[in-house]
Amino acid sequence: MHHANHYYGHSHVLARYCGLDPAEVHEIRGYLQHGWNIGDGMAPDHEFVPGIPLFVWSETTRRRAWSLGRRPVHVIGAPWAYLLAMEPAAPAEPREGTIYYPFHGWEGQRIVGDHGRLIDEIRATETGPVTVCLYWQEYRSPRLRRQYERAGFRVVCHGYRGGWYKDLDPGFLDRQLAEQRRHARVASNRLCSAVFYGILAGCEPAVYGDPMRLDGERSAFGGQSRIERQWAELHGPRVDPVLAGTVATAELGADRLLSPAELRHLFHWSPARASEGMNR
Amino acid sequence: MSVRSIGGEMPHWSEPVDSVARGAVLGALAAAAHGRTLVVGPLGAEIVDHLPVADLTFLVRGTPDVLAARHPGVRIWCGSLAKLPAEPEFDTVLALDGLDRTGTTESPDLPWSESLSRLLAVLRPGGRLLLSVTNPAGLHRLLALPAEPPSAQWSAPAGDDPTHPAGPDHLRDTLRSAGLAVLHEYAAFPTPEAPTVLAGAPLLADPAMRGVVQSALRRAFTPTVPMLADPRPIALRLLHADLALATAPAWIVVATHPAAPARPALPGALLASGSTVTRLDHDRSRGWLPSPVPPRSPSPGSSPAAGGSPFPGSSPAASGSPVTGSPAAGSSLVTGGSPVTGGSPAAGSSPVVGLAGVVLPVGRCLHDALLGACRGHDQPAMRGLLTTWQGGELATLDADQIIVDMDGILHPLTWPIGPISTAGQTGPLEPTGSTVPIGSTVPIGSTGPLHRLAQSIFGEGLTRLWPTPADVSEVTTLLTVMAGRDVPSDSRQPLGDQKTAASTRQPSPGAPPPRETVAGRPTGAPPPRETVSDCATEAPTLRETVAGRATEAPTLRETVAERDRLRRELAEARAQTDWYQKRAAQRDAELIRANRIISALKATAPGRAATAMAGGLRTGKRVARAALRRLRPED
Repeated sequence: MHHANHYYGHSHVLARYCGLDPAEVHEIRGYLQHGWNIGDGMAPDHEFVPGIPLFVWSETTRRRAWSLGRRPVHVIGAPWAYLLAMEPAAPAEPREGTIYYPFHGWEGQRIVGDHGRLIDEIRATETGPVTVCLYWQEYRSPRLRRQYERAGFRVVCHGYRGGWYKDLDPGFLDRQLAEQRRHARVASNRLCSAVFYGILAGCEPAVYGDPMRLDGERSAFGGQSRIERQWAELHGPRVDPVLAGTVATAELGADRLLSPAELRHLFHWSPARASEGMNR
Repeated sequence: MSVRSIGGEMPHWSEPVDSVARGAVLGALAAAAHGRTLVVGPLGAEIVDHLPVADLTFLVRGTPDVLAARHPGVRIWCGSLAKLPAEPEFDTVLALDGLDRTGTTESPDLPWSESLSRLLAVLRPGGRLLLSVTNPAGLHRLLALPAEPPSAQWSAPAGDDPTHPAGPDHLRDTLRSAGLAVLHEYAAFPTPEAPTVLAGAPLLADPAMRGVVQSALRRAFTPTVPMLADPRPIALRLLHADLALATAPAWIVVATHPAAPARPALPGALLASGSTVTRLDHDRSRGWLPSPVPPRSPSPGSSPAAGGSPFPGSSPAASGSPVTGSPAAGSSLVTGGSPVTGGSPAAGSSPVVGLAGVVLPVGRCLHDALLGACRGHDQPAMRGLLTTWQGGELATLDADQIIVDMDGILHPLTWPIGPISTAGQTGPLEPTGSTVPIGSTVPIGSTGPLHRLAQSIFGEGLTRLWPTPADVSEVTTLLTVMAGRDVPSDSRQPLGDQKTAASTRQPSPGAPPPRETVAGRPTGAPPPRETVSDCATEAPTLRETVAGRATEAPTLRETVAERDRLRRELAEARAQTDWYQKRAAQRDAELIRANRIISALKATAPGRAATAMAGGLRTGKRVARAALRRLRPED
């Protein structure tokens, strides 16, 4: 029902969990939350068609969405959690350093902030090697990449999330998982999906540094200040990993995963429909 | 048979058959009658034909009823209660139809209190009064659709009489002020004239028995006539609010003079399932003890074949409810925590209560636990309960026949429950007599209980909790997969022929099981063992079998909710159609634009060259294929 269902290969991960061909694009009859947020789980500009269900990650998001008048809303957990369920970590996987996700804008948005100052903060905090993961927009900027590289950081990009059924990337989350599992810590200057992902992937989390801001950013649902208040325990260069694990499990709905059969039913995915998937 | 006109009789009148007090539980309660007995008002044959007394007098008001009674050895008094001779000659006055139909058109109406006085005037010292009182504010009245006053209502309704008890306290006080002691008091459900549940206040208020009462009320209040609303959810909310007694359709009291000699103790409750009646008695150390009320033979003085009841058409065969009678001889009786031993008037020995060591399961009714989880959006709890239920031996039982205890263990509410190994045990009971091994395949067609649960979810307006449920079948399918059971390959189709196997309760191959928990345990862990007798195929359940369930009558509130849901879904379907049309138009435009680009590219020199090359390649491919065909040897 919405092209955003296929961002970051989310629908592909879920299709794989459900036993469908992950190389195909499987339409979900509903709106799938594609990133952690403090609203109803959907993007601010998301269009809604009456009667089409929202599939959100967590119970808290469901309650929020319900209070905003969204109907029906169903908790299914994040695709990331399903990926981890399918790809358990190797027993003795070596981890080293920190993967840092500078806050990024989305398509068409511009970030206002001082990357130089952020680099200084990262240097002052991290003791091991640092990998900086840039969003694809920032990654396309050679100047910005060089800025981080000159600081001695390894610079990577997980890829393009895809859009409007073009350039979809079923392997996006797999690459992100592999990258995070190489690191002992995950950090960002804003609490975001990547930090929660890292926590669930076994990284010690940290949120520090200039949070920057989007050009013309609107503080919907309380904005950044609310995030810093409500999830204060996840902010700072050192965070209690046990507490972080509990919060991440709840926010990503990792304790609310459905069986493949139930997920197939909710998405209107039957084996017969599996063959109707579109080539990406 | 002797017939005596006492005055005020109605030569033209016959009580409507479908309005007489009737049913197996009233029959079982009437077993408390002893000695010379006066039967007041119209009672069904299943009550009067099996009274454990021989000396019977009927007070009726219609002459044809007298003519219809071909009952040897009984006395028929025909006329108005107002004309009843004030002779204290009866050991029992049986007024299970109440006092509202004891007046006639030929005599002045008596206030309720005056009618009571007339009855008490014929009761011997030490005699017993079994009296039913309709609740003017009973749930059955509150939910009734408007109706024309019946022919029997030639005077003001009973509820308008200021002396008519307006509540159980009022009734109790009235009887006490008349010098009687109330031995027992029952709330009668679902109707005053044909109750299937008689429950005392201790049972209604016992939190441990909440599940049993929930189950009994759900069963009793299945709507059989059109009503304003489905009474089941309302009845359960009233129960939760301790208002079940106050809003019961009727109260039935057993009262006597304080100095009366000890009689067999009365049951704490009587529950009927069709013609089977179970009595519950409370024991301080063991809780509530169930025991069957065994079928009784007609009383010596009656002649069922000839129609022992003075009311036509109310024979056991007509009502379909064979009579059950007084408890059989046996051990001592325990009621209300006070062991009482007495002689059964009919049998001349002590009545039996309960099988040794059998207790009713403590907990909540599974049906209500599921609906509660549903209302609370608690899908994990829902999945846990569904998985435990449908993954075990009780999958074929309806959820309202199952009690879930504090540990999440399911207990079937069946009769007989079967003995347990240790008397007084209150924990999980050992299964006895199971014919369905744990983990075995549930027979085909066992999806009925889930379908009925889905119906209830729809009926209680909980459909908005589910993603676009089109109908009950859709929700049934969803419940099935939530229970971890297989669905047909086309999961959008209604379920009808499904099997459950232990292997199907696992996630799909290659996918590890989700890390959800089921009732506080990992999904992969074996389900808790169902307990007590799970021999559903042999033991008659407290409620009718699936096939024997009454068809539910439409109720206004649910019908309006259904209309609103369909209206909303139609609007949503229209919006979705518009959206799909816009999306198709958008894609058409993109396709047209892409075709134009392709055409423009084909018109350029490189495009023409590429087209020529592609054409050449296609021609070469055709020629090569033709050559190969010619070279291939003929078969």
